[in-house]
Amino acid sequence: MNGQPNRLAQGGLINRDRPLSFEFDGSRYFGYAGDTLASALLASGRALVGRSFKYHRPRGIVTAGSEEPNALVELRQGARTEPNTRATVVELFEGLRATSQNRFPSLRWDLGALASVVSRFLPAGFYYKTFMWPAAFWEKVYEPFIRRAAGLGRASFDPDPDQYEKTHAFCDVLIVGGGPAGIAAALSAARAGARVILCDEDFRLGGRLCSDRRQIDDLTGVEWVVESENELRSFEDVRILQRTTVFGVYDGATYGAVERVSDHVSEPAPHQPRQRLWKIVAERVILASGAIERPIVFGGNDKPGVMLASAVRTYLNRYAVMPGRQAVVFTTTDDGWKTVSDLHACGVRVAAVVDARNVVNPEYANVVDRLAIPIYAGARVVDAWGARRVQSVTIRAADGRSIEVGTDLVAVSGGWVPNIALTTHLGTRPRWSDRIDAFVPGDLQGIHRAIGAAGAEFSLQGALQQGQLIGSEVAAELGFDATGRRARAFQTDPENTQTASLSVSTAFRGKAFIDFQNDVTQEDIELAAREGFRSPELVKRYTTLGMATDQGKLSNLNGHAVLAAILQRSSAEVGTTVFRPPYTPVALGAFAGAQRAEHYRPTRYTPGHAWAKEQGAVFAEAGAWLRAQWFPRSGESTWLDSVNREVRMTRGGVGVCDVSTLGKIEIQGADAAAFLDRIYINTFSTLAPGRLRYGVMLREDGFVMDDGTTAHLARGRYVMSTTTANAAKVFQHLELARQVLWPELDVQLVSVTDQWAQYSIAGPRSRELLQKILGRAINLSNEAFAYQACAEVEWEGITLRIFRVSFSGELAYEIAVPARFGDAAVRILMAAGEEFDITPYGVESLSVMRIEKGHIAGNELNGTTTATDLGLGRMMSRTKGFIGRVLAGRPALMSADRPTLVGLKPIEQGARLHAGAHLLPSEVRPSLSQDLGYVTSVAYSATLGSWIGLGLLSGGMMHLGKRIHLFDPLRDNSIPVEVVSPVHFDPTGTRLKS
Amino acid sequence: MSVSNVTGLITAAPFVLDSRRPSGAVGLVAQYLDNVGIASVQLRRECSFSTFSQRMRLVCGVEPPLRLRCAIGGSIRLVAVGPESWLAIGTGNLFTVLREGIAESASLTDQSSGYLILRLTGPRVRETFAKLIPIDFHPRAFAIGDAAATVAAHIGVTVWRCPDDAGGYPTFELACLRSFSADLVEALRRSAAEFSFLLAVYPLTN
Repeated sequence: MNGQPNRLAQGGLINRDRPLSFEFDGSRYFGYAGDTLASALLASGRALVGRSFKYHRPRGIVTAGSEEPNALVELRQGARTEPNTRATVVELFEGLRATSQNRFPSLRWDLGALASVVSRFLPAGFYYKTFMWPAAFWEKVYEPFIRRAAGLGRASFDPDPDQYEKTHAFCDVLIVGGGPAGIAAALSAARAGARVILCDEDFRLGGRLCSDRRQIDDLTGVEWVVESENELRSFEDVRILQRTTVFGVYDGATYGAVERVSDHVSEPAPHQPRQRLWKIVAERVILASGAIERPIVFGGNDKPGVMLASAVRTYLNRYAVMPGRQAVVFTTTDDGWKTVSDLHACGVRVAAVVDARNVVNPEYANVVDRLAIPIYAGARVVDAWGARRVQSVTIRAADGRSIEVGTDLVAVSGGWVPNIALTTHLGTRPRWSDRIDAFVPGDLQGIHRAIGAAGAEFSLQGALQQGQLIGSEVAAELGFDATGRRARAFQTDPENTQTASLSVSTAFRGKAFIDFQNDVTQEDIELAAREGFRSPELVKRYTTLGMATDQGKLSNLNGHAVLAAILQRSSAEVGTTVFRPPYTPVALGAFAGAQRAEHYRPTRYTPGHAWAKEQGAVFAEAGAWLRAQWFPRSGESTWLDSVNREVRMTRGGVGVCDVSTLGKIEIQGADAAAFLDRIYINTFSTLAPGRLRYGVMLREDGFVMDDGTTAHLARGRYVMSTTTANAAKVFQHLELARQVLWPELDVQLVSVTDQWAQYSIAGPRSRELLQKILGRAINLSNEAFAYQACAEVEWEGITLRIFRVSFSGELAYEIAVPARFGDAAVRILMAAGEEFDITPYGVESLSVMRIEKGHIAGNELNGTTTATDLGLGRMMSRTKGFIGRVLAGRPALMSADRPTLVGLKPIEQGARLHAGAHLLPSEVRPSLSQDLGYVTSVAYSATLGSWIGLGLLSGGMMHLGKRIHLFDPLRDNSIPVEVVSPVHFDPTGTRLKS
Repeated sequence: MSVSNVTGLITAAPFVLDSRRPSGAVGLVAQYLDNVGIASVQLRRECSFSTFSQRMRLVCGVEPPLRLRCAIGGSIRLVAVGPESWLAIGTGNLFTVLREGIAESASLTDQSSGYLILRLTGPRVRETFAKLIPIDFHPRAFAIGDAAATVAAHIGVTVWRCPDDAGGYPTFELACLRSFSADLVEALRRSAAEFSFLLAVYPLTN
């Protein structure tokens, strides 16, 4: 059978028509479609699959599901390498490559096993008591060592080549788990007309029905699943999500699920994501996530070959694999006996059945007697022995005798534990149930019902009936009519669900493990309690019980039971820990979805962007926008060359700059002027139509929020400009004022930032250029269109807006055209401007020119400056109220020694200034106590042949002409500077008003 | 000197994106409205809603809807986007028509270049939306005439449901600020790629 000695000749839900080959640790193996990596490895006779985290003990496959603690492998290679993948959930595909982890140089011969040799010096928490002396060793020796030793698996550092997707879904009923209970509930709800989403983490529906040989009415379990699935798929409003784990319960009736769309193929199909994250909003959620079998604690219980009894059945029935040849079954439940009969039916020799209960069900006893299988009632397995695989066990019989039995497979059944992790995600604690010796959901939050094994109903008939009932009930709660169909009785094959609790024992010689993944032993729990850590949460953190990637699915209950025994209190009193999302690990890529790299957030493009790109502009991010920073030309080697050239050409001729990103807000209504008066510190009700004015607005706490110009276009219609960064904030501020503060005012606001493309045309020849283009549409002479005039102009059938406003200090205009003509407009400007030697300029040049003119911008409007600080105190009206007026008058904000705006110039020609540097008196040692302020903006001014800056200096312009020191602690330099007027260039503003 | 009627629409990929699968079935057809006139309409304080509503019916042939609804008549769409606030969409001269008809009762702002309006239809339009927009588009939850202000791939959008198209497929229109056009179209293309996606022009006529 192609290298699969443990593959059964018949049976299983595998597809024998599709054989597959794969690689594990460099060796080639074979399997079938429908196998998992674990089942295929077991079929090949491989028991050893990994080494434990701390002690490097040999480990094998324990389970057949996502609760697997041991079989963690590194899957795939290169950029798709995935560490810590559970082999029990990896769907086999052709060419799959997997390697074991945490071992060197090989799985068979691992140097790390030396840790086992010194294990008595490495109990839980040993690192709290070591690595302390000598102190010098910490940085050079201990920390690097711990860093290398800690962590499980290795990640690839290459970019992920796969795409991920996120999607939303809404439904009436979300059912978590596609086993018998979940399917029955989905059918009821769907038949009543509800929108249903059924999620299952497996690649087949059916849950335990795929692993056990059951009968439902006249169908086998598997046939019933197929029939039910077909019916579910016939409903339009039912969505079945397979390979999908509901990993978290969140506020707002929101549930997170991850769908492993392409994990089972070597590469995703075109346009398919690797994984898809679902954000599901559901009215009702039914938890049908089943139960996880509980291991039993005994010496050597971690050896390869010791497995959960239910997992053994899964391998036998679903995968047609014998996990061993000579089995011992150790059980405290009736369920464990199913494994005995299934093993026998598949031809595996059962060497012994150890039932911890004193009285064995006579039904089983008879069967087993006939088959001459020895039964030990009232007995326990106390130790398992073997090197890289279990070879024998020691059984302590009821009468105290010790019996050695040879075995390569120990099937352990400690009872079923309802899988209720999701019920605790919103903070409610589970409660103890003596009936099942495990925890069940407490108050339900986020989950509305728990059914089937998740609700502690362990019989198949019970699960089906409960599912059917609850599905209808929940649909009815939402107003759907569930009365139409008759309820079905569901006859199943007979079953017994009796279980008994097992007392904690210490009668073992080998290490008895509680948490396999983190190597936590029973002794570690005892140690924690001895050291005073006596609650489950403290025991968890001290021993790391339950802190591995399996979140204690197999270990919490046993660990807390040991604790309860030590403390001599009941499990109900001691309690258990609760869970947080995700239920099983979720790739970060799934959370990111498409929001990666440059798509992390949306980008906004100006109408002139395409043209700027053609010109070879270098772009900078300004919030979500891309703005041209400068336009390099051939012959220019650095950005400074380009910027100097742009400034020189603009101040010498004419330049054009795209300023579309600045916020533009239209303000209309009978009370628009009054509204503006209350928003700005200065008066706008006196602004005549056809004029614009510079304004400053404050926050309620008196600090400057934003500045800009507002133009009075026509009677009652204004357009306000804001800085790019504050556009949204200002709009919100105005809307709050309009809707909440002064709802009695007749004001209407609209953001028109996107409606208009806006270009600044600056320089001594700007008037000539615009007049040439606009011709008779408008007279732009200084008399007809003075400084701070504005107008709407009809030109070639388009309405344009022209504003005579200048950030650069040159004669300048801003022209607004509807954005759909924005591209054409800049090309027209450039073409017409050729004769005037026009240059485009970007935000760097804009910045140089405004600093030369001492105009404030974002660096000065940093949220800690007042209008007075910025030299704009005289703008504050004394005759009207405006937002921020009262708190701007607080003594601390009026204090004379507040840092206020000054200009700065280095004493030494050519010395460079840096923004953020601090200002100190000359000739003192730099210290905070001497701090006088800081530099807010700097630029190299080609016009002045020097670096210049703006800053905030205590005492401000009173120090005009004085020499102070600029200290840059980041670059560790200090230079002398002179305090000058912030208006470095053209102080009288003659160019502006020409 | 004349201005060519360039739309100025920035696309990150070739202008018409056609990733039709060999079978020829297109899952999502996205058309951007051409020759479109858009206006923001906000009721003035001194005007009553009923007067305004009468005027709008006279001028546009539709009644302004309230709260999360839209009204569609001929080429006109009136979408409620806030209290006493609408987005009016029609052919290119809409702003002028509105200005003449209702300027006394409402503040009007021309937004013809301010928004990209996309018309989306096809058998997979809802599945595409599910990947981008966090609201429920099931017919029970989002009927013809419903509207919502929401986000699509982190871009603010207003979306409303039109009558089903000739093929019986659900049809929606979606408005986003012009500067986000490229990213929104790219997000739609990426989300609908598995179903195949077509971007084309939808010329509005009266």
